[in-house]
Amino acid sequence: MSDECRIETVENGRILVATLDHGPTNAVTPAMLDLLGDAVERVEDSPELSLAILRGTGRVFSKGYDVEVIRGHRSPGEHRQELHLGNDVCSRLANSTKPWIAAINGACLGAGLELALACHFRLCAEKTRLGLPELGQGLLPGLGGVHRLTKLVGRARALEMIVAGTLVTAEDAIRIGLVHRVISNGDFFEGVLSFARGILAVDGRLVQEVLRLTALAEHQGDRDCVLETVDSILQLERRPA
Amino acid sequence: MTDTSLSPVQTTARDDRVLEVTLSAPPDNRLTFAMLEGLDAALDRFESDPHLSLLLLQGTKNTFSKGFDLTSLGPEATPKLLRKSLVLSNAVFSRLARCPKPTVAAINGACLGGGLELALACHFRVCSDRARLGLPEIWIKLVPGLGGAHRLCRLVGQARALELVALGDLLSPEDALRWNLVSRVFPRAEFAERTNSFIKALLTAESEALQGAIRLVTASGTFSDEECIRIGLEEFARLARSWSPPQTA
Repeated sequence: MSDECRIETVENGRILVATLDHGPTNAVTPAMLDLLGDAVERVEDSPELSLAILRGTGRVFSKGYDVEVIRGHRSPGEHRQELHLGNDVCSRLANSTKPWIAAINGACLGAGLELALACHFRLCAEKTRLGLPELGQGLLPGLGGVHRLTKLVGRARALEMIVAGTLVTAEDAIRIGLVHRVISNGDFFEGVLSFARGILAVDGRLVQEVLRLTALAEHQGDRDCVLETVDSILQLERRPA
Repeated sequence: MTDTSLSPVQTTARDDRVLEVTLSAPPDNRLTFAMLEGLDAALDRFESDPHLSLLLLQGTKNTFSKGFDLTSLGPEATPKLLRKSLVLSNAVFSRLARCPKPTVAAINGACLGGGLELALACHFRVCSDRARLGLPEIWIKLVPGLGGAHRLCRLVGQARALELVALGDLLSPEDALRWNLVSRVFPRAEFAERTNSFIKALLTAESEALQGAIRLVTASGTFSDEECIRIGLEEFARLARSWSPPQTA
């Protein structure tokens, strides 16, 4: 079996690039998610790596989960296990202490968007369509897309995208805060790299602290966040770069 | 999976609406992933069969379970395999903890590590007067990985939970009762019989009301006071719609 998620490094080994590569739609499979989980772990463990980029091969990011895999289940138990393992990879990605950038080079649907939602940054190419059209196939988004989309764009917009199955354009995506930047198709990956270099230019420890503190802000109150920030600042002072 | 005689989990539906699930890997009944898959299948059956009202989880002979069998992952268990096994095991434990119908752990003997974590995922725990309970993972330089620490905290408070996890001490049935870790202690000779009386008492409750009670009480672990009050109100109003005064004889 060929690698459904290819891994390479660029920028003198400081950036890991994971490329979804499976058929014309880059259909997400358990094997692909497993390889992505390895990549997440490698980024966490390696002091040389400062950030990671997730992209699709060709003109597609990913058009969703491989329905053949779902049809092939022999029991509900098998499906349940697959969902839990897949979600473990998405949760690790979302909780990663180093930034992950989803480089959405083309159609980003279903599980493809769910993976992008688990990243910290989303950059997309012009004319890209993004959405969670699972309900049209009689399915629910199963990789954390429902709650991550809701947190990101609010319940009203999340409901529209999921229940009505509305696909959004790159322009709409940037308007509702679903993606950070739209980059022209011609030099898309170069544009992604230049965004990434901007992050590499600052102290990686500070980036990691901000990732941690912003995650905290999502579920803790003002006082706790203040205390954590003060602790962070003093700890960083004690350990100069 | 079909030959239940070889399965590490025996599942029997009794006449009194109880699904009896027996961990069966003597002598220690150590948890293996195959066993948890058996438990998962038992939960499928329990949740889908409306005639089953209560799940009884028990061990064999005089052991409930002495914990997770790490060697069952094989001699070449990679950290990755271990992680997957933990993720899937926790999924089964969480499913048990979220079960809408009542679950009872009948702790007939040693209940350690993953065994106690499993019992903690049940709604009720009763134990025999010869049982020993504890989370001794720290002895082998590990921590409880199956939700035991926080479930224990909710039951006995942080101070006692930390003591139990940090020292890895084993509790006697008397201490377990005093700490609210179990709700009843029965003499070993009468354990099965007394456990059945306990179950029978639970089964006399109207099952919708009992499930409502479980929802309300477990909600306190997740929701704020005001949300819990709202859940209680909704539950009461829902049950009251079909309520009539108890008949006097």
